[in-house]
Amino acid sequence: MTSGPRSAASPRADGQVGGSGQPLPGAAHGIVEHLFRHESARLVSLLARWLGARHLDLAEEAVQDALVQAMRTWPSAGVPDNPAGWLHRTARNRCLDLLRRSGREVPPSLGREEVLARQPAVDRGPASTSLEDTGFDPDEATGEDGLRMLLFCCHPALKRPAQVCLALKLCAGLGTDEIARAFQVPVSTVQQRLVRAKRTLRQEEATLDLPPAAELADRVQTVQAILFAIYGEGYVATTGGLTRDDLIGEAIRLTSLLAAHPLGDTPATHALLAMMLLQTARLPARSGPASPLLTTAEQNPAHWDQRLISRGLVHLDRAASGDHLTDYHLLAEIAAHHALPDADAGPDWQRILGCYDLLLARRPGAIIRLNRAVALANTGRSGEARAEIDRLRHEPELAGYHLFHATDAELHSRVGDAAAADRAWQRAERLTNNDAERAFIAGRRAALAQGAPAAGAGTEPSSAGEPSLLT
Amino acid sequence: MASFMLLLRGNPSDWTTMAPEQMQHVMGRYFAWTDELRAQGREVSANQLMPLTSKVVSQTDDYHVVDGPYIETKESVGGYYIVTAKDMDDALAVARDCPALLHGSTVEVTQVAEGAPA
Repeated sequence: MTSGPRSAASPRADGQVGGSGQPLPGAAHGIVEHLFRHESARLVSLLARWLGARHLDLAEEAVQDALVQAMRTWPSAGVPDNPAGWLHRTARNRCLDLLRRSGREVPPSLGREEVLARQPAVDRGPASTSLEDTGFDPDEATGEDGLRMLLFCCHPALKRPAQVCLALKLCAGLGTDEIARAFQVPVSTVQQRLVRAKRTLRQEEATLDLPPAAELADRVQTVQAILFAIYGEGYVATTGGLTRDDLIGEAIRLTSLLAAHPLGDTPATHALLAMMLLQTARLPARSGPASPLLTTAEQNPAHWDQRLISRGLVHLDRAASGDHLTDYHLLAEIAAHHALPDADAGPDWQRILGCYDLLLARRPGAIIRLNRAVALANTGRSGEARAEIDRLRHEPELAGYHLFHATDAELHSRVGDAAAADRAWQRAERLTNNDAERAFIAGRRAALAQGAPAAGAGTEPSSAGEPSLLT
Repeated sequence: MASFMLLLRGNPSDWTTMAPEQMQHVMGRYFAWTDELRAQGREVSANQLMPLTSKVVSQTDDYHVVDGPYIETKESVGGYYIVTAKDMDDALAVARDCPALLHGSTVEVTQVAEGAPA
């Protein structure tokens, strides 16, 4: 797929990160990756809009039932020609069933022409392997309802963790256990958070209508902030593996959805999306070892996802249309410098440093100072970097942050202080619970013990994905 | 080759909380299993039953119909497969790979009488 505006605007295409995954079970039967997850989110948004937000639970139940029925019947009866359309019809019928059974009135909107008109086309020839072939226009079908659901989840009566949880459940189609795993909290915590959030929204009589114009800009900013938080959580996820890719993939998919809708199509949204795409492009392929500690010099651009880079650049270009600079713009620019290094000289550290200077002026914080120190070291100002790291040592935000100690270690290695470097590596090692990072640190320590010089430039601790940066 | 019925008994309430992605994976396992059986040259037919529709008719108590048969545990027959196999041992080997076992269901294996429709 090329990175033209059309594909860049397609949430479904953007949701696929990496690209070369293992063949999925069911793929031979025409079931696309994440079909259930994405369709469940889409259908819950769709049905909740028709039924009204107060029937959100019913919409969720109907969609879950439709998925169960698909899971139970498709293996024996075969996959329908239009799997998404089948799920849609089944969930809708189940909604009617549940409404009648509970003696509640069927909302008139559920029988109207508009409903039928927006129903996906069915029985369109042979089994298709992608949703684009099924008569769906993903932008049209998901954009409006998906965006309304995102805005709903970002209701100002909810606290940030509740907003994030709700968005992952309702907009990303994640299960409570998946959310719990991603945030390393018990499933019951997530369940409680969701129940309370929904109760609050009922009490507030929140609807899926668009917020009044006066509130819209704020609400869109909240959406951007939670998508940034979801991305950041995925980017630094210590659990590794699927969870990380899932969060990153969903953040990109939902941000694409936001960017594709007139209400969310702002320079800040494009900057946010550009940052995500450019940053993700440099992450190792999904099956490879995750090591955010890899120095820029050690990274091999041949392993980067050029498709994501070009898509990121398209959005970076669109982000430049306004005259309002956001943090996302600066983070996107930093990510772009990293993704487009000079073949010999590496990334333009001078400009990266300039971005961090601006970021720091806008939003003083220990994490940004740490990142700025790395940029300093890479522009040849190691002494200043060393001094800044030593000043940062007592920042509570960084004491338990393994990448701080990794940066400390790299800077010690550079000036040949192997003993101090090793002590810092040990501190970093104790603070990470990511196996890939631990293996990386072991390699660094072994190299130190053999007196090898530090490889390449300093580490760059998670320049964009750090959730504590903005949230 | 004889025909065997593999009867899947499970707890359908598990499905109500399962993440969509997980359900898709479970479904994928069934596809992989039956694809493999067909690749081995076996005939496979299957039927899933509607969830929680199991009732028991018994002659005692005046042909009373009750929910069941496993209402205490909400366990019910989720579906069945008819698979061709050389003998019971072969059929058991097939059943051992049944994905239903991975999510807590049991698989009951019974030979279908000769001449019965597979």
